[in-house]
Amino acid sequence: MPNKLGPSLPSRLYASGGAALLGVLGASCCFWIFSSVFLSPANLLNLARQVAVVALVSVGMTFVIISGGIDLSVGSVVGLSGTLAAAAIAHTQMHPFVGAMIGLAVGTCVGIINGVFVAFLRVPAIVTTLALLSIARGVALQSTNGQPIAGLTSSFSFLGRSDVLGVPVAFILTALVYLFGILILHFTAVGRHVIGIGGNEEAARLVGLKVRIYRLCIYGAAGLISGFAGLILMSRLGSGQPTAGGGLELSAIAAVVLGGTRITGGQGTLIGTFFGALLITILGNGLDLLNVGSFFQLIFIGVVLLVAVVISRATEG
Amino acid sequence: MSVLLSAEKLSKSYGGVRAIEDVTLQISPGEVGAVVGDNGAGKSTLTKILAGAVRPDAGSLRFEERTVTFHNPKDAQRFGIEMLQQDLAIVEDFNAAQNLFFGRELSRFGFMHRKKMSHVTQEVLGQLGVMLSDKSIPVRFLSGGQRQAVAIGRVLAWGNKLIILDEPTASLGVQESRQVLEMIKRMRSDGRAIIVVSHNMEHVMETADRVIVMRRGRKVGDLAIADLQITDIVHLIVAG
Repeated sequence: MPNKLGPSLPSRLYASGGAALLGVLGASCCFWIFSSVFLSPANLLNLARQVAVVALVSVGMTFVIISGGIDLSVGSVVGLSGTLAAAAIAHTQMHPFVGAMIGLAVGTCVGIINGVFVAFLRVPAIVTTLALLSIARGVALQSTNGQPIAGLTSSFSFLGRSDVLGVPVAFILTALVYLFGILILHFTAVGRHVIGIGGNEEAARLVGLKVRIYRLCIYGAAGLISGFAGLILMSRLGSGQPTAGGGLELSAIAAVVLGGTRITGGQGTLIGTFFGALLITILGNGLDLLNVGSFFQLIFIGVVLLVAVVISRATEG
Repeated sequence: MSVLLSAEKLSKSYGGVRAIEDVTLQISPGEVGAVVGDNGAGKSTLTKILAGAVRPDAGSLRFEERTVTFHNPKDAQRFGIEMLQQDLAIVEDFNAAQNLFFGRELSRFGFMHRKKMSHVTQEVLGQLGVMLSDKSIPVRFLSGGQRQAVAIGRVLAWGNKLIILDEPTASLGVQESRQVLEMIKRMRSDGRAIIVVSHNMEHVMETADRVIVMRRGRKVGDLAIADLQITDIVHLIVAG
C-alpha cells in the first residue's frame, strides 16, 4: 500500500483492542470445544466474578502505563487494603462501610507514595513500585502475623458474592469503573493530557502541563482502584488474606499490553484493556477446567506477557 | 509602522558565561526579523527571553508600549506571543488536531469538543497552504513538511501577535523548506510580527525584512535586507 499513509491494519487492530477481542473469542471457542462446562451459566457467572479484580487493577495500570510509567505494587496493594479493611471490621467492630473506606484510603496512600517518589524524587517507577510491592506485602503480613483474618460480618459479602438481577455486583461495579475511566481517558482534556505525557513528556511540559502533579494523581488513582479491587477480593474470599493479590501485577500488565496499550506509553484504550483482562481471566478459568495445574499457569501467563509485548513492538510504527 | 515589541539592553549570564549582553531590538507588526549568528552567539537565549522561556538578568521588555515582565512562557502567551522550539515539541502519536490543541483542548460540558477542534485545525493548516488527506492519522506518518506545518500551526493558532521560530527549516528538505518559507510569508501578510532564527542565509534573504546579527552575545548589526548581499551578512557574523 504505497499511497496509503498511516498505521498498518495489524497495528490498528492491535491498538484498538481488537486483537484482544479476537483472543477472547478464540480462547472461548477452544475451551468450549474441550470443556462441556465452559459456557455453562454457572461458569459464566464465575467468570464475571473472577474478571472483576484483575480488570479493576488493570484500569489503574492502563492510566499508569499510558502515561509512560509502570506500577508493580498493585498486587500488594490489593492484599494490604483488603487485609487492613478486614482487620478494622473484624477486630474493632467497625461498620463495614468505614472499614471499606479505610481499605480505599490505604490503597490511595500507597499510590500517592509511589507518585511522590516517581514524580518528585525522580526515582524510576520500576524501582519505586518494586519497593512498594515489598513494603506493602510486608506490612500486610507483619500486621496479621501472616494469618488470615476471619470473622467478617455477613454484610461485607455484598461486594464480592451477591448478584443483582443475576449479574454479580462485582462485575457491575467493574463495568461502572470502566465507564467512568473511559469517559475520563478518551473524552476529557485530562485524559488527553495523560496520553500526551506518555507520548512526549517534554512537549507536555512545554505546553504548560503540570506533569508531576499529573503523575502523582495517576499513581494515586491506581492505588485507589487497587484498594477497591482489594475490597472486592476480600469480600469474595470471605476473609482478609495477607497474601491475596500476589502476582496480580503481572496479570494486569499482561491485560493492559494485550489490550493494545503500548508498554512505553502514549497509546492505548481502556476498552482494549477490558478485553485483555477478560482474555487473561478466560485463560486461567479454562485451564482450571482442563485441570491444568496452577504451577503451569504461572509459566503460561509469563509466556502470554512476553508474546503480548512482542506483538506490541512488532506492530509499532 | 508602530513597534510591537521592544527589548532594551537585555543581558543574561549562565554561571560566569555571558550569553547575551546589552541587546536592544524592536519588531513591528507585519515584519519578519531574522536573527543570525554563529553557534553560541546568543540567538537562542535572546529569543527565549522574548518568549518568556528565559528571564533576563538585566534589561526590560515593552509590548505595545507597556512595560511587561514574562515569568514563564504562559505570561508571554497571554500577550499573543508563541515560540516554535527547535526540537519539534509535537506528540508523534497524536493527530494534527490533537497536537494543535494539546494542553489547550476545547471542551463542552466537561468533554472535549472534537468536531470544533478538528475544524479549527483544518482552517489553520489551510492558512498555511497544507491539506491533509487523512486528518485522523498520527503525525508520525506525515512528511517532514507536514509535521512542521502542524508545529507551526500550533504557534499560528495561538500566537496572534508575535511568532518566534527557532530554525524552522533546519531538519527539512528543499521542497519542505520552501513550504515553510511560504507559511512565513502568509503569516506576515496577516499582520503578525515574526522573528526567525536561521542559519540559512538564502532563506533569510528571501523571507526577512530585517536581519539582526549576533556575535558573542552582542548585537553587531541590525539592517534592512533590501540594502544587503549575503556576503555582507556573513562578514558581520564572523568579523562583526
